[in-house]
Amino acid sequence: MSIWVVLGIVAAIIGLLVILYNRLVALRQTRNNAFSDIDVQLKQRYNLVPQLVETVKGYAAHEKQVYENVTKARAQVGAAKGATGERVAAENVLGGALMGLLAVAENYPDLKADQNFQKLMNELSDIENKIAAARRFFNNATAEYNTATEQFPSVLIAGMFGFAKEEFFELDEAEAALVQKAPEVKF
Amino acid sequence: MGKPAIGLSSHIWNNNARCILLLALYPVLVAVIFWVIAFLLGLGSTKGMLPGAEVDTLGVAQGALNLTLEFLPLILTVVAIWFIIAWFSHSLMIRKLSHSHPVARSEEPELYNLLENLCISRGIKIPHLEIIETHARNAFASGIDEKSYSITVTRGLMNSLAKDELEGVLAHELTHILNRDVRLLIVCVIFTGMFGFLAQLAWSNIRYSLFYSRQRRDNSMATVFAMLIIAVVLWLGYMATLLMRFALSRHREYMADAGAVEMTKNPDGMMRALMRISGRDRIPETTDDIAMMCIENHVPFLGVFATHPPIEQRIIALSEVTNTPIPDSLSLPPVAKEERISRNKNHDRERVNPWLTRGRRP
Repeated sequence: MSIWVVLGIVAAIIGLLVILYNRLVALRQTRNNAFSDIDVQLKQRYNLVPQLVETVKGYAAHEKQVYENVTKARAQVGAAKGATGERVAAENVLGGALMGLLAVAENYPDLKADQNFQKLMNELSDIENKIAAARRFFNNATAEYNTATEQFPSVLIAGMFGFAKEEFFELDEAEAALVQKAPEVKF
Repeated sequence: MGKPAIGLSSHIWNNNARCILLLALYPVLVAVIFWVIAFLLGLGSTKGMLPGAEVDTLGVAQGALNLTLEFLPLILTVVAIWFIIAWFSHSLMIRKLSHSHPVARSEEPELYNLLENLCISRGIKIPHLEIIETHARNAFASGIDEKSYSITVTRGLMNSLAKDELEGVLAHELTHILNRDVRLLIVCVIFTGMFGFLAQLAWSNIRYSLFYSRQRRDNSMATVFAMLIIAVVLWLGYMATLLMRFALSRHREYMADAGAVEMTKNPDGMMRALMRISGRDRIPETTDDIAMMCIENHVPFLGVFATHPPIEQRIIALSEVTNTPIPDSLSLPPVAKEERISRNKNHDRERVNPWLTRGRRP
């Protein structure tokens, strides 16, 4: 009789552990999916950069330093695939470099009136808005996952199976300025 | 007023439970109505055969019950077939009821963009978009699963709201989808809507036989009488399903408003949107079923049968929850063209139905 009670309790505990484990896996998966949402937008920005640089170059060929910054930052993003932390840092640098590019563009009225440039700016502002939205979802998902890895019963599972706390997608100041800036450049 | 944002997952759970309950109760209701019809017809025919004789009410009731049990498989089959029809064509029915048409991304790129950004921030698939060509300002969401979720807005709404206000409206509808409110609504309106449908069919038949078949009037009087009884009972059944709609929580609008603000982080825009919609929400040519689904459904009559809380209360609730001052409704200027969403000019005029756009209420 008492053996069955013990077995029942053991089964209940195992069941609970399985549920907790699956919940952690699901939350981690949501976070990964969320990152791929951002990734889609970041790649679009990555692909937009050369066109943007070419267009600005057509009007302001001598601003070499700015182009160099952008190109270098873009190359870093291309190299940094995979690890989130490194990638985020590289994307932030690219955001900052783009901000510099736009600041240069401000000084050339002809460039600002250029149809192609306006189209690219609209695209960029759209992409930045989408990155912001996707980042919000990613950070929410990360917060939920992190909370789960710290809460009492699941913290045991997290420790056992190596569910570590994950990083948020933070903006540095230049990137934040770009998000603020981009929609404003619409004509 | 702290109600809205908390307990969201329990709200979703409740909605799902109510869906199942409604669907399960529906065959029972149909069976009961079948019994009532059988009982009344039985009563009528006994009286007709033996005028002046004592009527055995209990016996008739028993007979009606037997008949109902006998026909139970048929009733269940009919209900099942209706459910299958509803499952596959609810989107089409809603489209026909509301006179909306789907729009492609290329036709309304900015509207799509607003909605897409909201969806990205919630990590969900973008619903379909539809438009009703009318001056009224309203919007609703419909659908029962990820494939069929759609959001419908009126042309009047797009033409009179600023971008951030429209975003608030879209976020409100998106929250309804996330909260599973729309699924419950569709179950209420379409799945349990068979009686309304049949009642209308019966009424039109009666009208037809009363007005167009005068030459055979003597012997068709009894049929008309029977039809009348059937129609009355069907209307009663329709009323019963209307009562089922009280399953709908009236808090859902507050929750959707709060959810929208959580998404857009712009309570001021949401409040302005509600103010601009207020009093101009009635879409001519649509039915009550659609009006019930909309972001605002203004019902006079002290709000006894209201499906929505008064818009003033929603604005006050929003202002209290978010600590934002209420915008001054009297000095709310019309929205300048630059602040609205621009649209693709190629698709402007062709689809506007002049009959739908004329009715403009104060």
